[in-house]
Amino acid sequence: MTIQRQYQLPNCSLILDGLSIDPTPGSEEIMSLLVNAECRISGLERSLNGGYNFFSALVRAVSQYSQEVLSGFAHPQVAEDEPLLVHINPGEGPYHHLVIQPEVADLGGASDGRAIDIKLSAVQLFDLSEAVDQFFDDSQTLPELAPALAPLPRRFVRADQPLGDRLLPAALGVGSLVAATMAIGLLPVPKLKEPNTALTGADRPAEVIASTPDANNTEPAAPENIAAVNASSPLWEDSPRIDDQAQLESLQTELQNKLELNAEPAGTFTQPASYQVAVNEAGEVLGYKFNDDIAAKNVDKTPLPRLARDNADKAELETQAIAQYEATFDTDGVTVTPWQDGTQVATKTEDADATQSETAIDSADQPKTPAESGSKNSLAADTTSATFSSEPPTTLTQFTEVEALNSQLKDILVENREQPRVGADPASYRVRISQDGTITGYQPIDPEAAEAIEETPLPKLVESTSEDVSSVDYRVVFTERGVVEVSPWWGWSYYE
Amino acid sequence: MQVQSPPTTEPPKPQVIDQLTTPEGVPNECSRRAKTQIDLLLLAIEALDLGGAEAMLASSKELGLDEVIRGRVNLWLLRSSNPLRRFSQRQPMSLEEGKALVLITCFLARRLTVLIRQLLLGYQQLNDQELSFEHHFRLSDYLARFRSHFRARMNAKRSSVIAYSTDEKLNELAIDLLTKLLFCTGIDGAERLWISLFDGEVS
Repeated sequence: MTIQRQYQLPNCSLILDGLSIDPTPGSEEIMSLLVNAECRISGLERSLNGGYNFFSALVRAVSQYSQEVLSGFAHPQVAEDEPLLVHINPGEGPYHHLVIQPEVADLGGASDGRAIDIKLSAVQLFDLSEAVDQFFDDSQTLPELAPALAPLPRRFVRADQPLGDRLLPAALGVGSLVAATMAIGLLPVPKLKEPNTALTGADRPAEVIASTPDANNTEPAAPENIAAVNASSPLWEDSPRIDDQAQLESLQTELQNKLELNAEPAGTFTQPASYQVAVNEAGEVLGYKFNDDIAAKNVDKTPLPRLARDNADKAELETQAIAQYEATFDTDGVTVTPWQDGTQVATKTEDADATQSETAIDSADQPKTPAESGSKNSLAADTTSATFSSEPPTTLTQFTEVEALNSQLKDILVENREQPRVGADPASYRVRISQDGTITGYQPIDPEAAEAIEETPLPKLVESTSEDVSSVDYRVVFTERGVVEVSPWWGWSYYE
Repeated sequence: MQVQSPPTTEPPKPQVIDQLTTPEGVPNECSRRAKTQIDLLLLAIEALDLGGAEAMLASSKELGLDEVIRGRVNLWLLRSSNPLRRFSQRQPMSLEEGKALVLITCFLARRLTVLIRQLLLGYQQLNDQELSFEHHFRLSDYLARFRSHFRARMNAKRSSVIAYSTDEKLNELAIDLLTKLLFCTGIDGAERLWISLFDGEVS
């Protein structure tokens, strides 16, 4: 039985012609097979006609884009691995662009092979959306097509930023979408291939980049600043490298702290994701690269896009000297190591190997015998002027010595603080002190402690040591009542 | 003897609120963004309709939501949970209260459908002819009223409010809110608005 259904709004009507193929009583009125879908839009001379592929792609795109209008966040308009047949982009002022690939629908005339681009005003778009919603509410027509309204997962949305900060990227995004829309219009029929999900790591994920299969060839698809922070930038090839050893070390600490401070809670990364990160002399993140799918997929969970974007439009990006690091996010948090690319990296290779093979300090809680850790990390000490990711090269074992250093460290900290830290939550650090009473490193235990580091005397007390001196690690807590508590990292019993 | 006693059964929970489903995996209170969005949409309604504030209370009764929105002060407190407000109340907004405000927003938007469409069509014509807003009396009236409401009530020291320090930026915001209100007038408008408030809140 043939059935026709119409959903009419002032500026848009949907007319569906189809068949009922289920003869059981009660179901014969249900349109289960679509023969033709016609979409009439006011101001458009001819109507859009297409089959099921067109209609299902249209209702999905319209429904998703309506959510985008309401929330301001770009919604993916196509499921992963599906070709992009119908897509809506924001346009300038009150306009939006409905872009349809010519192989699924036609405007009545002979197709010139280009994508159909229909400019819709806000009111026209709403009427289209309303017609689609009326169709969704009609359980008698193609009941398998449902709106599937769901909030956008966090990974598609940037972290909390004040409204104002979102304006610039949004404007850039809109600009790039317009550019992409125009580019699509100019292109010959794109060969449909699976959307390149590896590219969704860029700033506006599923929107332009994943959705336009051929956009890889067209530069404007990605906003300029994203190109600059990502792989294609001359930043990586042309920039001078920082080769001052001490500076490289302090930049490494700074990057580690910055990433920890901004990272998502532990457990976000089930598989380790590694990134090549470039920072300038001021410690600002200029760019990052990734080489595998896991890293690409998870890039939005890292603070890297945000940190890099803040510096993306800085002038003369490529002329600044940079240092490169490898940042690895895994279940335990983030680890920063010098990047090994065969070029000038200040740390010796074996040092890096030692630090890389070691797990992060939080997981190194298990006491190891000093001899074992000593032999394993004999070179680690010179890479860790302010922070460290391993046990001290050699440590003291005598209870009395450890006790003496304990009180010495406490005295140093109490004498050097500007004022007792009162009122804030307790902040804990792992602090390494050498036999002669020099503080050689510290590491915040948690992000809160990292944030409070400036309220402690630790940063100005650290001195770098290059020789292998015996050191002991202590747990230092600046309590909320202004008391400094010091105890050996592995507990007193370890030394008895 | 005639005895006056209150009804023994509890009044049933407002039915209308159940038409909105809470998406899975969301926190059990409304986010900062949700509180901001709702308040701004209501602000736009006030700019469209002089009696908007009264209409909010009236429609809350009409929809049977006065159990959730308990009067003028409660409505004011809820709207003041918008962090951009000058006298922002750092109080949470429960999902139920959020739903009630979404329903009121969409109810009022639907009443204003004709006006909203006229203003958006007017904006489109001005845009096509590259004319300023002053050429459309009703639109410039709405924009002026929105700007003055916004400036009177939002905390100008907050960075997110500073972003709207110029007339142009506020006009853009007002038009953006007008478009959102148009989408609220649809048959699934309330559901769509409600779900959109959780964008980026689920993992």
